[in-house]
Amino acid sequence: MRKRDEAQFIEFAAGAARGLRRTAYLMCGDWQRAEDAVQDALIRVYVAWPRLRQRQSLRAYATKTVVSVVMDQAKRPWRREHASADPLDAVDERRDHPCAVGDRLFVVQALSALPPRQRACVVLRYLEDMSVEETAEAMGTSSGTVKSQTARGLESMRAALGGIGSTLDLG
Amino acid sequence: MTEDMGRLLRDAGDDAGRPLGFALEELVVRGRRRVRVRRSSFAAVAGVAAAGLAASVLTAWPSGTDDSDGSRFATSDDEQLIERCARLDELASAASSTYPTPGEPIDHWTIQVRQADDEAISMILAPDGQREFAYCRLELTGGHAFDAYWRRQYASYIGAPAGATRVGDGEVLWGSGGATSEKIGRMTFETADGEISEAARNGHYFVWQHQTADVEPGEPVWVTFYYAHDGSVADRMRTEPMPGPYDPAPELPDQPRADLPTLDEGVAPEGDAPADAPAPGGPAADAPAPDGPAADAPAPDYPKDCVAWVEPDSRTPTMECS
Repeated sequence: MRKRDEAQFIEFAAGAARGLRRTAYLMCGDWQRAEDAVQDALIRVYVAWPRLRQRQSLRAYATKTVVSVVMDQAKRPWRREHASADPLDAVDERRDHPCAVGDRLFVVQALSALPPRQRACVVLRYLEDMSVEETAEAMGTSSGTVKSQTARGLESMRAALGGIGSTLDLG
Repeated sequence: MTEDMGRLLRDAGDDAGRPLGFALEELVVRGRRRVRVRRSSFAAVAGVAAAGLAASVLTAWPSGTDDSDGSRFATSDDEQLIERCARLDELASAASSTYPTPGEPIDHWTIQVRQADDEAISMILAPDGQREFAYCRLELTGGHAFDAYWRRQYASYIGAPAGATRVGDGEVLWGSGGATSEKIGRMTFETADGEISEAARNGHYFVWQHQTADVEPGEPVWVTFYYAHDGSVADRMRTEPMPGPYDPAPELPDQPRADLPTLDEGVAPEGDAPADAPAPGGPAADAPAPDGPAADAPAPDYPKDCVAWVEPDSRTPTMECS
């Protein structure tokens, strides 16, 4: 890649990386893995850059790549990790201090409990503010599937977040 | 609803201004390397096809690093096993993209627990002080196709991930390893064919290796944790590719079952663990708990999580690090 193209790539990556990391985090629930995913995704963007630079929607492509990387990670042998603290201590703490878990973590956990495709739909639609069509294109699926997966995901989120729903006005 | 959900997600994903943990210039360097590797890989595959070679295993190890001599490893030869794992650690370090400085060599670490069959041996290696540990699986024939390796900071890695590698037309090699609380006395793993097998344990550490003929790699594995003090079931978790990379509530049974095995029925007693597994109460048993003093020690640069595996549709072992 030419120096000028590399400079453009770095400029793009600098502007997009943190947002992509946030998307990846909400997809996987682990900041470190999110950062790994962003790096992998940006390298894929780098490799594809010569054929991408004419496009307007670089950010959409990068987001799609991040989603793909995170979902691939989840399928990969040996990466099915449980990033929680000691499970026994965790359950004890929840019993003793039911309010100790912050709302943010609560939301991330509720999100992580969704099947991956529902999770991706919710994140892309409501965090990335993508349209149904854009989400379908990013996930390589149909608009109808996106609608149904999003609806199910929202329903599950609403049920899971019921405890904080009164303050967050989930509707 | 849309705005509320968007706000919820934005708040939940707030990184509080945390800077990126990598340099963009490094990405460019890695991107250039990726382009070069893609080009050379295409050339290598084309060369094999042109020569009309059979589908022999193409190693993914860097050129000149395949030190396989075709001889079998002795599962009791710790020095040889550790040397081989240390080699994997070096390769992992070299391949790692987010590991800015080489880690402490593992050649002086000790094997904390192991489990083996005729084809592979799985081990947990750890140094004194318990700041970190490594999972290492070696193909006993001296090849690399079943090798797997990763290394973790102790306090950040508690759980029982299960993975699978196809090692033959119908055979799948399952494995897991890691650390749990010492409150756990034993663990069993149940594959989708209903077969229950025991993990080898020593102190905090456990390792599990098992082969199946009728279970596909994508099938779930159930892990049951038993309390050390009374043998009762402490937890039961399901590990599988989906629904996600981690279980949001691993302390809760995913699907409560009435027929959970107990210490007195359904599974082999602890004495049936592999003969070469160290007895419980070995060196690691005296080490501090995850929240003890060792966990406060300076953390090494992590992650360093590398694995070699063979995809079902390929015979080419691949190593990847994160």
